[in-house]
Amino acid sequence: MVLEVNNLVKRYGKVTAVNSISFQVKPGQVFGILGPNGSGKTTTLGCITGILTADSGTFAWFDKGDFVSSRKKIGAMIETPNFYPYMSAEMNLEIVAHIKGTGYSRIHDTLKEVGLFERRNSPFKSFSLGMKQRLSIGSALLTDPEVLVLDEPTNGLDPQGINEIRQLIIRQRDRGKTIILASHLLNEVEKVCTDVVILKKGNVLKSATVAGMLVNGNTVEVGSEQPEILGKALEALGNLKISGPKNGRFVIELPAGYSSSFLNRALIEKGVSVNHIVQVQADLESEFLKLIG
Amino acid sequence: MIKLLKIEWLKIARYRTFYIFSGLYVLLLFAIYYGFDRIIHIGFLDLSIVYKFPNVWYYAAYVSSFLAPVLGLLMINLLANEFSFRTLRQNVVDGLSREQAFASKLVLSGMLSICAGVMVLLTGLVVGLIRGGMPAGADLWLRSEFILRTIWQTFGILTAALLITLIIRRSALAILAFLALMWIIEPIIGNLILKDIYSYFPLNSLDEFIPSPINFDPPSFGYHSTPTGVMIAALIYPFVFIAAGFYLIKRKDL
Repeated sequence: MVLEVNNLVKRYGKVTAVNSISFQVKPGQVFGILGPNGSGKTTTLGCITGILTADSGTFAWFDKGDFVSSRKKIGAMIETPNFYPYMSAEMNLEIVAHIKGTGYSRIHDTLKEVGLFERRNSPFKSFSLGMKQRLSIGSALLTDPEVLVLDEPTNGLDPQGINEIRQLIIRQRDRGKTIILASHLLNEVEKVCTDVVILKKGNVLKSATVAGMLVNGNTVEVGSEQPEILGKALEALGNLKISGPKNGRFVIELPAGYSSSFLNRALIEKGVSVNHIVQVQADLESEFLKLIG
Repeated sequence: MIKLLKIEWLKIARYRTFYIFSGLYVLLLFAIYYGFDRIIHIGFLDLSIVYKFPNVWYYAAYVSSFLAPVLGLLMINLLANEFSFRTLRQNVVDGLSREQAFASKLVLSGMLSICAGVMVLLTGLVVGLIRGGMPAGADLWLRSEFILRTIWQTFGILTAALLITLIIRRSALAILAFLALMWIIEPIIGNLILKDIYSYFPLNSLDEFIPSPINFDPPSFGYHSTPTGVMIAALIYPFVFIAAGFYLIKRKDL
C-alpha cells in the first residue's frame, strides 16, 4: 500500500473541513480526489504531507513510514507554487535537492521536462502563473519519485497549459508512477485517473474506479426521420425502458448483455430505418452532479 | 546540522536584505566604537580607556549589544518571509520535518551570533590598535569573555525574535512587537510596576548580560560586573524561547 488514510479529521474552529475520511492508494493507481471547492481536498493533502496537523485519525505512507522518512519517494505540490521569489528557477530547485538529500544532477533534466530550461536563470517572481505551476510540478518530479501528489495542477492555466500538464501527468502514469491528484475538474480526473473518491463538505460520498463509474448503464440513443413509426416499433420490441421522443430521438435502457447493434438489427427486421444510433457513455460529470446535487 | 545550514545559506546568499542588515551591523559596530569617545561625552571623564587593551573587548561588545536588534530584525524578516512566501510549508512538503524547519533557523541564528562575536573581536582589535596603540603587558585577553558574551547575547535576542515571529508570522507586526517589547513594554512594566525584578526580564536580562559602563550611583564610568542572578536568567531564557518555538512549530498548522 502506498498510502492508507484512516478516519482523518481536521477542524478549523467550528468548521469541520475533513470529517473522518478514509481511503487507500495502491501502487500504480492514479488516484483522483474529486470535489467542489471547499470539499476538503487540499486539507486532506495538507494533512498527509505534514503541513497541517490532523485533529484525529491516522495515515501511513508505504505501510508504516511517516512522510519525512519517505521524502525521496514522494514528490508533492500543494495548493500554490511556493518558491523564493528573488531566486531563479534553478536555485530554487537546488534548495529542494538539498532538502530531499539528492544531488543537482537531475535539475536540468527536470527543467527540460517541464519546459523551463531556457528560463532556468530567471527569477521566480518574473514567471507567469503557468510557469510557476510548471516549476512546482518540476519540483515534485525532481527526485523521480515513486509517488506524485498533485493538488489542482492545472489551476489557473490556459487550455494549452492544461494540455501540457495533462500530457506530463499521463507520461508519469505510463511510467508506472502512483499519482494522487486532487481536482475539481471532472474531465481532468476522467482523462487521467484510474480511481476516484468524491468528497463533499469533508465527507467521502463515493469511492470507486473511474471505469466502474462510467460504465454503469447500457443506454442507447436512437433517432429516425419518422419518430412516430420508430416509437411504435420500439414499443413493439417489448419490455424496454423508453423515454422520449425528444428532438426526434428516444433514449432506451437496454437489458444487460444487449448492445446498440442488437437494437439496430431488431429495428431493421421491423422495417424501420434509423438515422442515429449511439451508445450513451455515462460521464463522470452527470455522476458527479447526481452525487453532490 | 550542516545540511540545514547549507539550505539556509542557499536562501540568504542571494538575498539582498541579508547583506544590507549584516553590513549595517558591521559598519555601525566599527563606526560607533571608533567614535565612542565623541558620542558619549561626559566632560570630566577621560574616555581614552575604552580603546586600551584589554578593555577593547568589553567596549566593543557593549556597542554590539546596541546593534544586536539589527540582526534580530533580519531574523524576523527571514522567518516571516518563509511564512509569506509559503516556503516553510513547501520545505515541509519537500521533506523537512517541522522540527528541522525551525532548527534550521536556530542554526542560522547560531552562525550569525558567532559572526557577531568574530566582528567584536576584529573591531576591538583594529579600533584598539588605531586609537589605543599597541597592547602592553600579558593581560591582552583579560576581558575577552565579552566576545563569548556577545555570541550568547546575540543568540538570545535572535531566538526571542524567532519566537515572536513564530507567533505573529507577519513581518511588519512581528517587528513592531519585537521593538515594542524591548523598548516600551518591558521598560514600562519594569520601571513602573515590577522594579525589583526588572533585571530578570527576558530582553532586559540579555541586555544586562553585557553591562553598561555608565553608572549613576555613585557616578562612575567603567566595567562593573553583572549580578549572578541576572547572568543565570540571561543564560536560561534562550533555552525557554527555543523550547517554546519547538512547541509551537509542532502543533500549529503551517
